Amino acid sequence: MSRDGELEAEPSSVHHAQIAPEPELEPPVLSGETELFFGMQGDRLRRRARWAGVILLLSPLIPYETVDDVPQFSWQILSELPPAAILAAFALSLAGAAIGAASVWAKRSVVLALVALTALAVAILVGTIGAGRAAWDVLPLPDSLTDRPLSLLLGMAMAGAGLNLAFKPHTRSIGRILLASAFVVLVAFYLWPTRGERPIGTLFGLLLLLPQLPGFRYVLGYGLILVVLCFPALVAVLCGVLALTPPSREPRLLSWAMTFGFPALLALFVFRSLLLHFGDSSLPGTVGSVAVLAALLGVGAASIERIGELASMRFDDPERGSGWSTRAVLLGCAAGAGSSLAVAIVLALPPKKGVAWTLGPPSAERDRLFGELLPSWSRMRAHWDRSLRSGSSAEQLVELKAKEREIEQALAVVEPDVKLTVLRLLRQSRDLDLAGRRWFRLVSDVNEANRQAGYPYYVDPSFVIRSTRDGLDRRVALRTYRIDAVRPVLAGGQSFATLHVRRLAGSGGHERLLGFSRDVQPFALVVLDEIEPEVSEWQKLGTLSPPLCSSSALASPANLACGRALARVLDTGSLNGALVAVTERHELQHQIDGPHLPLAPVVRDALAGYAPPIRERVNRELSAYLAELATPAGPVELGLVAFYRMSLGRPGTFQHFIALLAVSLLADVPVKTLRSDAEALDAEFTRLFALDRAALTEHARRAYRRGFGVALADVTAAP
Amino acid sequence: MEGPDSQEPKRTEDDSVPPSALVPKRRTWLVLLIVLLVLGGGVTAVVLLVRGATDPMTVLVAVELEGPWWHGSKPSAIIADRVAERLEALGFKPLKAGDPELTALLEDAESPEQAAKAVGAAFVIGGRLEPQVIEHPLERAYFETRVQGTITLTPVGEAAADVGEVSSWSGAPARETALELLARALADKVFDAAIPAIMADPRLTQMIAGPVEDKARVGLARGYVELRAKSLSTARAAYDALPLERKAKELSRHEVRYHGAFDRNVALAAVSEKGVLLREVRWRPFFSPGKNELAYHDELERLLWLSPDGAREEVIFEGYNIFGYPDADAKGQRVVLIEDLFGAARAITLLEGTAAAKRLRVDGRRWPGEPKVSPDGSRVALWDRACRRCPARLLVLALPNAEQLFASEEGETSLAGFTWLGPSTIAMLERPAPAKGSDTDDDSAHASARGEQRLVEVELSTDPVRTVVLHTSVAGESYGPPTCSRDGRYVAMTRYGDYAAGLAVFDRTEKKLSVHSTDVRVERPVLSPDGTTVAFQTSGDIALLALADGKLTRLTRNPFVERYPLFSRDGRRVWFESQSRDPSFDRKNLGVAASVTLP
Repeated sequence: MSRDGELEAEPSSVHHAQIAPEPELEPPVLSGETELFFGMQGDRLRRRARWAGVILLLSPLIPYETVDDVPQFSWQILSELPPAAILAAFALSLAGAAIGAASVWAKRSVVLALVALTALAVAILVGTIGAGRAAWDVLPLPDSLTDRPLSLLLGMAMAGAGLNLAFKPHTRSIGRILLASAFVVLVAFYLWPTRGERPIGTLFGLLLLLPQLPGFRYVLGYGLILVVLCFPALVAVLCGVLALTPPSREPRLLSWAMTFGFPALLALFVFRSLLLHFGDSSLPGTVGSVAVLAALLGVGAASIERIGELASMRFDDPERGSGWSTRAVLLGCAAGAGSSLAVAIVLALPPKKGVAWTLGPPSAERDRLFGELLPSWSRMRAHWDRSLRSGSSAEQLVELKAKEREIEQALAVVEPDVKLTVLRLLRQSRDLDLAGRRWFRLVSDVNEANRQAGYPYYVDPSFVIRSTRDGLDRRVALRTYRIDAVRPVLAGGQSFATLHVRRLAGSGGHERLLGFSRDVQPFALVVLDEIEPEVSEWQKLGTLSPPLCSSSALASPANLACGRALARVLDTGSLNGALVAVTERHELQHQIDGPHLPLAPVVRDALAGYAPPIRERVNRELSAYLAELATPAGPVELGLVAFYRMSLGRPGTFQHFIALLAVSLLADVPVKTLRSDAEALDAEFTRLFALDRAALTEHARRAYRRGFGVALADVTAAP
Repeated sequence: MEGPDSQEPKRTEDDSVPPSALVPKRRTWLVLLIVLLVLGGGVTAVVLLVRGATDPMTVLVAVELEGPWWHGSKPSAIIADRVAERLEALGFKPLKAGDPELTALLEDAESPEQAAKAVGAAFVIGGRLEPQVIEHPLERAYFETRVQGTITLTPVGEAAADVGEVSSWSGAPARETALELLARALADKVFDAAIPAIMADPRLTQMIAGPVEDKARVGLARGYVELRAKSLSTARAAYDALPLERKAKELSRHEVRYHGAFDRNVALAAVSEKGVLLREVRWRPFFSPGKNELAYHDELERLLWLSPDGAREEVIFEGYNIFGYPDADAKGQRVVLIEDLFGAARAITLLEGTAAAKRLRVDGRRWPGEPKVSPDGSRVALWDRACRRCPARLLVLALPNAEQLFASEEGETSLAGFTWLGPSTIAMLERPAPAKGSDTDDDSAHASARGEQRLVEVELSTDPVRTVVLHTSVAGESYGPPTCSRDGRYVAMTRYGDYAAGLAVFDRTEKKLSVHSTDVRVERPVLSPDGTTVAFQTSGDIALLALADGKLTRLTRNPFVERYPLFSRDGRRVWFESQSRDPSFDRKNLGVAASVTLP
């Protein structure tokens, strides 16, 4: 029976005459079966939109993680997030509200479908944009709030929708197209690496691991993960088969399984938790996540199905005439999506880089203020903070206030703006839940006032946040430095800067950090008094006979070559100046890279099994260390000396990893070879040390491009 | 507005109005608004109720020591923190005094009670303690502090009630440190005063008798208070039992009269016309919240006159660390004592009449001790050392101006004791200095000292001071600290020799030393005013020896330690210290002044 034919034939003239007086607004006349399917489909969409809207609206009530059996909620970290990330955190909830509202007010189901799809797409995009902006800031957005692979969701939703359309004759062709698309998207999901391993790699890795697991419990646990991970593949296979041989009857159960099978499988973890522990504190989070996934897939699939069905009617909507016109809805959706995305993009602009700071002379009074009083106040504040969490802490508060009074008196010697910002820092720091963002802003204000006053002082904020059973534990502190020099530079047409600083007498420093950089700040720092001990150590090595880069390691060819390189730098001039230059280039590269540096394949492959933060850190450090080899007009071989010394460290440490990866890129040798063959590593180092500066820089540039897929930025002094 | 069901396209065969069109359209937005308003109102009401509710376990500690902590007093803050810590350990919810919001609230409030009410606290532990801070003009500054005051408990909404007296003292080179030490010493006393009163409050007693959850909340506190009460009552009962025990164990036929309760240590310092001068050290049994066991708080030491009949007490000094025994002149008008200022310095202090105590000398380097006031009160003689265990020299100061009248050569002799023979005459017992090189804190240096002891008379009224050797010991004998009769004619000493401690009496008129043999050991002999009788301690009892016929009379006979006898001015009563072990604290001795009327 050709249902397609039925759709096109026999319009109901009676119906036409009754409902639509104007010919151009006449809805098409449907056959009874088509009308029945159309009505059922519309009902399904509306039902799903209602419960999915409610689930998504309430999604902020789902804890993003559980710490010591205490759930942590997204609103608790709002103060730590930039506006774009706040928008991202609640994007799904806003989408739920839009879908829920549309399910009540939209008279035509196609309108509801369009609103739902637009809202979901915008929510996921806004989430991604917001997470990207948060990465620049003090606290990244928790993955659980935004980490929803679009390709997976889209593929599964299309699969469910396609199957519901494929069995009906008049929508079969659209259904097959959707099934085929779902197949492609799901295959792409398995093959496309994001910022880690390809899912297909993980799948095979688990499969290989399964027989080696020590016990049945492990096999059961990993098996469960494997089943979940295999499910999209099963759906993809089914999509492929069904696209080729569409069903002739409604596969109700299969359709449900393709749409909700994935969340249902995840719900197995809920049962597992119930069986093992009679449920634990993570249960609400797991249940919530399953519900959100079901909502996304359910409403997504129903919306795609509705639009697919309409497409099969060549967009001749039987419900036309009631409610908003399709064009108006499309325009509205486009406008809403556009404006939402525009707002998200504007809010997500990364922080401005570079700074112009004209340095005036220091003074004893201001040295005391910044070098003694402020660090001492910071320590007292930390003491008070810690004490108040466990006890009464009146004593510490009294001491803190006394120190604040002392600082207030000392502020008589500074400019009004500096005084104002320091006082604001003191007053607002009485908040025990002082958010990291506010802390950074308060300290940045002091730095900005210092900059405008020409004071050569830099206040460095630090912030640590931990989730505890009593809520978030925020620890803030500051260190102070005197600025010796400000070095503005240009890289890729953008301004950047470094500050060369020295610790002030009463302030502690970041131990053994020659420099440091934060994405949220407009400049990087080179700590001169941390470089000096390093210089002294290198000088000793360079003046040995023969010169070496490590006196405790064997005098291997690479060690000797490294020693000669070190001695050459010593002969040609100031080692201190050279080390400052390469450190500066290193820290500048961090500023240039930001948090969205592409993950180098060599890092991705070598650290496949490591946690994402570790991969990110190695990736960023690898970029910065490679950049040392392109220090403009500098003794770039010092970067290689650093790599060599790092390679002598304990295997498995960050430094050792980075050295191996760098040599792998510089020499174009697999990491595995270098890791297993110490002689090969030594030989590659020897070859690299034999290169002159220009060749080494060129090697580094090629290695960088090979590693990161982009050119290493040229850094020039700003005019 | 139509509901979702009505949005489905209707297929009808006629153009009549569908029944659904006759149903009035639902005002969904109105319903939603009402629901939101009801919910909002409910939430607001709950928040207000929760905020306004008083929790009987919530306590504000607002004891002021040099001002309140919310105005920046660190000593008060220390008390608040420590008391809060103790309360928290018992399940209470003390308000966190380090919370800036609470501080701001207290700064703006008219009283701590008002602030406590605002935050839902049930009790305020208060009290305004004004410390006394004394700065000593030492080479290196030294501050002593002391405080005494009343702790109050205010159930919010009710009147404050006094719940106990607290006192403490401290000393340190810096004023702030001294006050902080004072606060640390006070904190547990404040807690100890407040906790029984809190637990006696009807709200807490209701909780104790209330539902299981309430019982559980107050369980720890209740257990603590019960254990505290039990420990203290056990201690009290033990003290109360002591007088009966003494009476039962006293075998002497003389009636021994005990002056004072058996819960302190009293030292018998001097006898004068005014009565008996007593140094009283008291401690208060106290249940330690840190150790959960019975402990004690030292209280300020007191000097007091007990009237000759033992009926009245007159406190003339309160302080701490009275070093050794004070002394008074014959009329009891001038009293001299040594204060040890926490090891940092020693003060020679004069008490005269009702005037405030006068520190004649405060010295961080010298170690004065055992002051003895001349019978007419014009001078005070004392031992004076360069270090705690160095050989002493005799130092005599004029009273009340502390002018130095005499000082024996330092290190040349070691003194075994001295006594005033008259207003300007001293008899002292000296021995040549120990061998060179043994001038250290080592006891063995003194033990190894050899040489004859000499009883020397020092006449201070001549210029230069005249010294006469009255008697020199022979080999194998030595003497204990001398005392003399009221007229100065007889000097009595313990005589050590022949493996026995006997009595020696030197007659200054006859220039003759007589040795009196007894069957008992003679320690700390004192002569009666007329010089005919000697009272002494012997193996923990007090006895009398008539010098004329050698008749020995035992005034006490019991298993307790009785020592340091003194004759009353009229010679009709012998006073002494009667000591026993503290039944509650092993390391403490109890002592009372006791007396026996002579037959």
